[in-house]
Amino acid sequence: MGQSLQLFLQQLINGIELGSVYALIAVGYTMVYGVLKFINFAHGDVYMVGAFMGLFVVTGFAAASVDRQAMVIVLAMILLVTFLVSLRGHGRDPKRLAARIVGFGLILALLGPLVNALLAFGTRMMGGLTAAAQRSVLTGGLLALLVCIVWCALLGVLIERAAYKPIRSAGRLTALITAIGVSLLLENGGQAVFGANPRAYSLATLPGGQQLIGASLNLHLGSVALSVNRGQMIVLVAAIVLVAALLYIVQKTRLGKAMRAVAFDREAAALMGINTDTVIAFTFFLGSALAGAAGFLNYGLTQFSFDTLTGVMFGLKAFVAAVLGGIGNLGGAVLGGVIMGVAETFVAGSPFSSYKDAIAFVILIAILLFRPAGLLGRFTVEKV
Amino acid sequence: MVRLIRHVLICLAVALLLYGVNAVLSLERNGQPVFDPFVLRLLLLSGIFVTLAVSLTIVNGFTGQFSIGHAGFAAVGAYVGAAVTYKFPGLQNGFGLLLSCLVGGGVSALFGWLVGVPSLRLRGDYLAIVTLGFGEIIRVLLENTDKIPPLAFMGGAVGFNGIPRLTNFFWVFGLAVVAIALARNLKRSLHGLAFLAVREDEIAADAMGVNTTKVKVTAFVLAAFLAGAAGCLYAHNEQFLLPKSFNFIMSIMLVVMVVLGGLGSITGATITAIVLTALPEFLRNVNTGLIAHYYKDEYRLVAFALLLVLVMLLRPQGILGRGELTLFRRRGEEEAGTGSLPLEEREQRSTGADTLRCEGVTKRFGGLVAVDDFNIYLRPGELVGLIGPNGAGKTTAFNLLTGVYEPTSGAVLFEGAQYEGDRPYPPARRALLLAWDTLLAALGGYIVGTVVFSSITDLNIAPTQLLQVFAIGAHSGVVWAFVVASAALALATTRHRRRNLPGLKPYQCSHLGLARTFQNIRLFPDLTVLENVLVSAYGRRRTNLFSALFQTAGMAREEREARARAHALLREFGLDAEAGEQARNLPYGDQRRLEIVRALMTRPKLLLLDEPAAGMNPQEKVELMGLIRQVRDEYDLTILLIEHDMKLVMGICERIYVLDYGRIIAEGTPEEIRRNPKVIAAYLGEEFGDADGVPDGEQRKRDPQITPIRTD
Repeated sequence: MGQSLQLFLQQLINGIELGSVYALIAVGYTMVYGVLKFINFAHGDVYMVGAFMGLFVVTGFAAASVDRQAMVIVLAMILLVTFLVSLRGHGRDPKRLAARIVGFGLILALLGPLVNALLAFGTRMMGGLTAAAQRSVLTGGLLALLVCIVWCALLGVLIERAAYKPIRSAGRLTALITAIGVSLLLENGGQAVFGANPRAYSLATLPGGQQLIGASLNLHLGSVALSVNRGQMIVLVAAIVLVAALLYIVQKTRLGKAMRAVAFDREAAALMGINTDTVIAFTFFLGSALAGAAGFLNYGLTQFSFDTLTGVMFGLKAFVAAVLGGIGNLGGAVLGGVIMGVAETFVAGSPFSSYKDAIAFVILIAILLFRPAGLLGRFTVEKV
Repeated sequence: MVRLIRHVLICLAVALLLYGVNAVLSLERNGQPVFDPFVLRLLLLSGIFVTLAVSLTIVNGFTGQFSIGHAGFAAVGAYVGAAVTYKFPGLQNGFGLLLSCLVGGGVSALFGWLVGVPSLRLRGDYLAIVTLGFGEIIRVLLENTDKIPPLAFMGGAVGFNGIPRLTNFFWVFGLAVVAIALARNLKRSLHGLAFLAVREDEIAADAMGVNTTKVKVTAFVLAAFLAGAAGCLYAHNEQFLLPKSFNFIMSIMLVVMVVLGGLGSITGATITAIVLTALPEFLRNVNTGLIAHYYKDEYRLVAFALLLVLVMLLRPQGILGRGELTLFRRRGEEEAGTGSLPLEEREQRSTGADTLRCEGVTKRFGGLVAVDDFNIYLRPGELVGLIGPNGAGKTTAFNLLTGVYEPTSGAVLFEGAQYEGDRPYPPARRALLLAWDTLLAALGGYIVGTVVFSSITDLNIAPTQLLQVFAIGAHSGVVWAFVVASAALALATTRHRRRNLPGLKPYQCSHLGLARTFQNIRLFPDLTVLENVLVSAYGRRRTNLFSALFQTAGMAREEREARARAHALLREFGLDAEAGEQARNLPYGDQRRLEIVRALMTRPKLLLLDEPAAGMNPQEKVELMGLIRQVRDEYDLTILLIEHDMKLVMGICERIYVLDYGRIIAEGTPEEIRRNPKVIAAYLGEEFGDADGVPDGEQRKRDPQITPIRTD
């Protein structure tokens, strides 16, 4: 019995740790859903980008093995689409058209040198960061976390501005398809530039890393002795801190209040003088920041490997977690994430482990049958 | 008869054409195929995806239910169909293919039903996620077939090998033509209109007699059948199946085809299915000459992603929007005629009972009592008004009468028979239901408990013997703790829910003979005026889905009758000229009148009008008064009317009920109501200290924020 209890608690802790990563991502899904009522499918890929940024900071940009030529080609393709989109509206005016074509041609012609400069700049920047990170595991970890958060937050805002804002009035399905497009772009563009090989890195390689992360933590609860991986504990603590910070922002600050107002009724919020565009961008900022943090935490502090397609399944499960908790509800996203993580860990440890990927959905369907609006969501009868 | 012959002839002609093309495509010269096998394979793949996309159009486009797990249905059909021909070598021929498609489609349809049933309770994105989950669960199950001995031949994650190649152009495009024809027939029929109505406004469709649950499940079953058959053809085309190829990405691709083509457009889905299947494969072939030096396969997918974003940014409504590409304009729209409305033979009322009677109906929302001890009666043929200040609970009362809400207590009777309110379950049935709930929960607890137990115990079970784990679990205290806990939880939470028999749903109320209009207009905005009215004919249809899919003579006759009746009603309300116009484009007053026409089309005995004159000018209001009276006499109706315009209410109503704070405060003829001090107080407020049951100084306020509940 004692051994069973110990194993049970051990699995529970592992599950909660995994769940905290799901929760960090799920929060982003739920916030965007709350404000815009659409599923941001590219969110899981932002998480993937976070994992890559952590890799760059910790091990240096050289490890990225960037395919320069692929980068030029992908960027050229993106530019071409941007150009075509810009033709809409005032594109018919011959003068503007000429200016656009010339400008586009110029950028295209200079794209090679531009990418070179960009890469050189990136390498130097990252070189500096990596050098700083190499000093100790603490500075390295915090630096990587910060870079991931900022970079992913900006990426989230960029995606919103470039892809979602122009079609905001066109309906949710259109937004969804666009999100799928953005997601595919990040996955396949990333694969073209960075390759399909799985990557892994660990903060434990930094000075002092072995002591901080590699060692395990021994807990004694009465007669039960638990040995917990320190890296996992740090992930859990960091996730709690980040979610607490998010809750503070959403509940206590002006911008957070504006966010809740927009989620409640966008038009009314706009009429009350809230700049809804800013608020929506801020929502993406916050959600993507947490996804980026999750990407770094889940790979920098554990032994898992990742590639450019990692975000698909992880994002999907995190989204399921958000729905499970009641989409649009922050507490629900956290609860859903934890349930998802615990369930997955237990199934993975049982003889049923090959059914692991299905279990998230079985739980989801079972719960939705009894609580159609998720665990913490409120089922509202539509007004007639 | 002529119709049947024509249909058979068309079918024969199409079959012959397909057969001919197939013969040409399979020509060989010196043992070498004349046509490039690569191109041929692509052609067949495109045809399969056309069927898949069109089938998804039925769910996503027509019914507006967002399914993102369609690949799961294709997977079921593919594996089941392939298993049939694999296991029975005698069936490795054209007949066998047909049979396996039917079996695969059938099993897939069963799964469609399984997925459709939860949609009873789920809406929008929640349903989407369930379908997504279904697709993933199917994939994971297929990946584990190698661990289940009888299914081991399916190969699990390694793939299902050795499926005979039986498909050809004839079968693939035969199915595609069938799918397109069925979808087209459906879209044009009364049944299809019901599907579209569910997409446009589920609540309004429900109120007009459309069983929305049944429609949704039907859509899922139909789409799953077609997808399963297409999956079966896919299996016999590729000769090899991988669970991974039916993943989330494939489902998403299908959704992309449907949305990109224009949601609900069959031709749009067809075109995008062909383009999106063929294009990436052709891009793969770009990899030649100079380009090959720079080429990477990922560019193809990047280009695809960018194309998607580009099309959505430039044309958000999809390539064809909601329209269809047609070679011929439709004939037969002008059959409206000028005949007068056919008189209906309505059954003589045998009971002398009141048309409607409410006894002590109460509705609570949490702590708020929206309607409190509501007692009214309506005699046959009466025209009664229900008035009251804003927030008095009038619309809530309507919702209680029409099945939108269930009363907390009380009884609602229609022609003497109770259909809403307190009707306790017979004790035996209730006990049975509770036992069923508890049993299900215990079973769930057993499964969860076993998983937990087995993950913390070293069991050493072979992967093919998984079921043994459950047997071992029966000896574990952990498992039983889970069983007891979940059973207790279920018993505690469902006990109060299983008290009363469920009341009638809105569509059942409509079949009973109640029709209503809505305070906030709820037309089907993207349907035409005529179609809006025709939806209401669905509730009293005599033909089934089969006749709609195959456009039988009976269906055509019924539709002709419905059309004639709809036109006649529209003419009476002066809307016939706008019959082809989209409802969203009508002026406000016309929209209100159209709602009344739509309600009348359900052939009601009792008509509930919720502020029919709102937003009308004085001239229109006078016309409306005449119209309401005329309708009542002509169709032998009983009418209950909510209205704020006192002139109108006092002008046409024979009796009036006044509602305030959820309670009836007065009842009588217009003259009595006009003089009733309570009514005056409710509308104008009272003087301080005015004794009339209200304590001194309790000045009632009409500030909307203090009004107990907003029901409007």
